[in-house]
Amino acid sequence: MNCAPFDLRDYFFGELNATEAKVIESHVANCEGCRTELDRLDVTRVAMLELPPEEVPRRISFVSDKVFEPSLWQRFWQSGPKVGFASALLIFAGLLVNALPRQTAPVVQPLTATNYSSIINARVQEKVQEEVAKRLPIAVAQAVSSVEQQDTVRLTSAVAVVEKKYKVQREEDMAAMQATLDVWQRKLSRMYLASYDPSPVGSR
Amino acid sequence: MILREVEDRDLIAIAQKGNLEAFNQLVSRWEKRVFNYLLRLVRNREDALDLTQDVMMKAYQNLRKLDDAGRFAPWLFRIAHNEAYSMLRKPQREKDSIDEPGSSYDLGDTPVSGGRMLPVETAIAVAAALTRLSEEQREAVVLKVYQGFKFEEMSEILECPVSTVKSRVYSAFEILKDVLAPTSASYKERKV
Repeated sequence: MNCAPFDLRDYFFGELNATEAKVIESHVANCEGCRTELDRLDVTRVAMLELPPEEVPRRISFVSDKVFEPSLWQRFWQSGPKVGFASALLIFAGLLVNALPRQTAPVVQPLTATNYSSIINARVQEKVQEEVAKRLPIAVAQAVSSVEQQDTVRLTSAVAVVEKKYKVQREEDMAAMQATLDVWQRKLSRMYLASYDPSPVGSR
Repeated sequence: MILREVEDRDLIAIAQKGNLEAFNQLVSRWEKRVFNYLLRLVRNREDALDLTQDVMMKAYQNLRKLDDAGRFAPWLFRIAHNEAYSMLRKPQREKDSIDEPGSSYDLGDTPVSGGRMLPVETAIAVAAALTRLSEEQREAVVLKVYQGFKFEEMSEILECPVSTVKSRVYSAFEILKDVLAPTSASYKERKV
C-alpha cells in the first residue's frame, strides 16, 4: 500500500495526466515508502524484460494456391462496384418488365345507343379505309399512265417538228449546192467554147 | 523522389486487394510478436506455432473486413486471443500439449535468490513467476509488458472493460513484484 494521492500503479503505467503525474512526482520525492514501491514496480518490469522473445521455429508464409483463390465471380462480387452493378441490374430488370407487352382481357361493354353508333362509325371508317386502300393504287396507276401517254405524244410531235425542220433545211442546202454547181458548169462551158479553134492541128 | 519506409498500413491496403506478397511481408513483421504472445499463453512451442499459422490464415481471410488499418495490431491480437482460448478450452488437448516432452515452455518453480541475479537466472525466475499467474493475469501482463499495448487496446483485444484490464495487470504485478522484487520482509515470508 502507499500513501500517494493517486494510485502509484496508474503513474507507473502512464495512466495519469501531466498535472496528476507532477503531484505524484513531488509526493514521491518526499516519501520513502512510495519511492520504494515505485522502485519495486520498476525492478519487476526490468526483470520481466530480461525474458527474451523467442524466434519463430519456422517462418510462416503463404503461397498462392488456385484451389483457395476466389473465383472470378466471387472476386467481382467482393469488389467495390458491386452495389452499382446490383442497382443497374435491378433498374434494367424493372425496365424490361415494364417494356414487355401486356395482354389485358378485353373489356365487354353493354350495348347502348351511343355504343351502337360508335360501333357503326367505326365499321364505316374501317370500310372507307379498306376502299381507299383498294382504289388508291389503281387511281395512282391510271394517273401515272395518263401523264406518261401525254408526255409521249408531246415528245413525238416535238421530234416530228424538228425532223421536218431539218428536212427542209437539208433540201434548201441541196438546192443551193445544185445552183452553185450549175453556175460553175455554165462558166466551164463558156470557157471551153471560147478556147475552141476550128483550123486543123498541123496549121497552127 | 522521396524514399520512406513501407508502413503496415501500405501493406495492409495492398494485401486487402488480394496481394499475397504484401500479406507475407506483414506476416514476417508480426509473426514473432504473435508467436511469443501465444507461446506465453499456451506454454507450448508446437501449439504456439500452429496457432500462429492459424491466426495469420484467419487474418488473411478476414483482412478485407478491417476498416481502419491503424487498428491492425489490436485486431490481429484479438484473432490470436480467440484462437488461443478456443484451443485452451479443449481440456484433452491442453493436457496433451503440456505433457508433450521437449515442447513445454514451463521452466519450473525456480527459487529466487535474495541477491543480484544474472540475466539468465532472471529470465528463469520470470518464467517461473509467470506460472504463478492465472491465465487472464498472464495474458494481461504479456500484452502490457511484452507487447506494449495501451489499456484501451487491451480492452479491445480481450473484449472487456478497461477497468477489468487494469485490475488484471495490477493484481498480476502484485504477485510478480513479490517474486521478482521482494522486500526483505516478503522474502522472509516466502521462505517460511
